[in-house]
Amino acid sequence: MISQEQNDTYTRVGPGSQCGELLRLYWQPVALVDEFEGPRPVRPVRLLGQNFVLFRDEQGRYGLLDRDCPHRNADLAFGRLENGGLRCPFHGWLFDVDGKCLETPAEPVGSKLCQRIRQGSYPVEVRSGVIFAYIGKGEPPAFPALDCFVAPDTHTFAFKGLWECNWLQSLEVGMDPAHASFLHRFFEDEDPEASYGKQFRATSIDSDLPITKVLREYDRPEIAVAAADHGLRLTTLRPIDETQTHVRVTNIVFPQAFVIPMSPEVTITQWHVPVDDHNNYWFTIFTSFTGPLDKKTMREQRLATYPEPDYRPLRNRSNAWGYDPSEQKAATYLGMGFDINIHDQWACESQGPIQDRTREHLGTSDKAIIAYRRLLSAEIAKAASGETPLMHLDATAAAALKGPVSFDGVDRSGDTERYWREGDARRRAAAPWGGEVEA
Amino acid sequence: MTDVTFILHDGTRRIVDVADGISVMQAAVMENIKGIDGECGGCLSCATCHVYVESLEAGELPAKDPDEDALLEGVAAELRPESRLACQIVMSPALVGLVVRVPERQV
Repeated sequence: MISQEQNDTYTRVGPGSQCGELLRLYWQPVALVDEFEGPRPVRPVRLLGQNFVLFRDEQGRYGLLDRDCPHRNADLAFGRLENGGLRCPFHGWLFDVDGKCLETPAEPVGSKLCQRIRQGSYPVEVRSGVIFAYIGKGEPPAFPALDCFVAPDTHTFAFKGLWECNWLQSLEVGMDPAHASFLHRFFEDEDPEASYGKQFRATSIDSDLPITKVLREYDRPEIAVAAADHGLRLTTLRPIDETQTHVRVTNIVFPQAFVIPMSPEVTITQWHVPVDDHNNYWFTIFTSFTGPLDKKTMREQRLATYPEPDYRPLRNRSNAWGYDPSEQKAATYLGMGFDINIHDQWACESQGPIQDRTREHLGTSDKAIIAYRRLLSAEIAKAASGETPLMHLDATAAAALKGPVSFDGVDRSGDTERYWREGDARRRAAAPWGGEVEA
Repeated sequence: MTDVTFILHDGTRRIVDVADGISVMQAAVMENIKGIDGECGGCLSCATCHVYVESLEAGELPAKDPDEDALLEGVAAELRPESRLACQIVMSPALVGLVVRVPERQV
C-alpha cells in the first residue's frame, strides 16, 4: 500500500512530471518497422503524453517530429510525403527528418520565415525491428548489448500491442512470478510440439514437464530478488519432488522492460511504454538462441488478436475481454481463452486506468514489485537532482551490459544457481550468434 | 529565474519571474502583458513585440540580428535608440534588473 502522492509520482509521466522526466532519459520504443512496410510510411505516435509524427522519407531516413505544424498547428500525421520531407496539407509548409523547414510556399518571394522555423525533432534508432526514439534532454544513452539487440535480424521478431491502463501496473505483472500458476492455468496441457511461437506452452529444459503442468501443480514458488547491473534478477523455484526443482530466472531491465524465457530456445524482452498516464504499448522482441524465427507465422498469429493499424486487442473492456463462464469452469482459470497475453491484459486493465495502490495489500510473493518500486523511487530522485540514473549508459558501460540470463529448466543437482548459469552458458555457446554473458 | 519589470502604456508596473532560456516576448504573452503581441511566435517575421529597454545598456543585451534591425525600421510606434524586439531578448541571470516599457501600439 502506498500513499496517493507516491502513486502519482510513479504513474504520472507527462512533461515535467517526476517519473516522466526519468523515463525521458532512455530510448523508448515508438513503432515497429513492420508498420512502415505499406504504401504510406507515416504514423502518429503518442509517447509519455506528447504527440509526434514518425515518417520515413524518400531517402529511407526516419524522422520523429512534433505532430502539430508550427505554423497553425494542423496535424502533420495527415501530411504529404514528398520533396524530401513531410508537407503540411494546410499551407504547404515542408519539413525534413531533422525538423528543418524547407519551404513556406504561401509566403512572399524572398521571405526568410522558413530559416527561423524549426519543428521539434528527436533522434531515432532502429534495433531488431523496433524504432526507438529519445525525447529527453541532453545526449541519449548508448544501447546496451542485450541479447535482443545483439542477435541478428533473422533471429529476432518484434511485435506490439495496446493495453488501456497505466504503464506501471503492466510492468508489475512482469515481476510477479506467482500469478502464472493461477491466471495462466490451463486444466489440460496442450501438445508442446503444436505450440510454435506461444508463451508458456513449451517443455522446461532438462525435463519432459510441460510448463503449464509445472505452473498448475506447484503454485507456491520460492521467489528471490537480487539487484543486478541491469536492474533486478528474479529466481523462482518450484520444488517438484525430493530430487527435482523447477528453476525460472527472469529479469527487470530498468526502467521498463522484462526479460523472460518463452521456451528453451526463445526469450522475450518486453517494454511497457507509456502512451500517456492511462495507456501503454507493450513492445516485445523475441530472440532465438537456435535457428531463425518464423516471423511470418509469429506476426500472423498476433495480428489475429491485435489488428493493425493501432494494435488494439479485439478482446478488451468493451466486450468483457471475451469472458466465458463455462470456459472458466471447464478449461481455463480465467475464462478468456488460451492466449496468455489476453490474461495479463485483463489483469492490468481490470485494475482501472491507474491502479489505486492506496487500496492494495501486497503479499510475500510480491517482493519483486516492492523491490522495483524502491529502485524506481531512488532513480526518480537521482534524475531530479541531475545525477545519472541506472541504465543511462555511456558507450563503454553499454557494451559491457550483456544478456541478461533468463532460463526455465528442472534442476536435479541441488545447486540451482550453478544449474541455471551452466545451462545458460551451454545454450549461449551453441547459439549461432551468442557470446559470453555475465561473470 | 530572473525578474523582468514591464511598464505598461498606462504606467502600471508588472513584475514577471522568467525562466532562463525564455524570451521576454514569450513571458509577456504567457502572462497576458497587454501591448506585446508576438504574432509570429518569435521567428522574426513580424514586429509586434516592440519594447523600449529602460534599464540596461545596449551592450548588456543579447546582440541584434540584422533582420531585427530591418524589422524595427517598420515598427508602428516611435523608433528610439532603446527599441528592441522582445522575442530576441532571451532571459538569463545576466539580465537581472531588466525593465522594459511597452510602446503605445504594435500595429
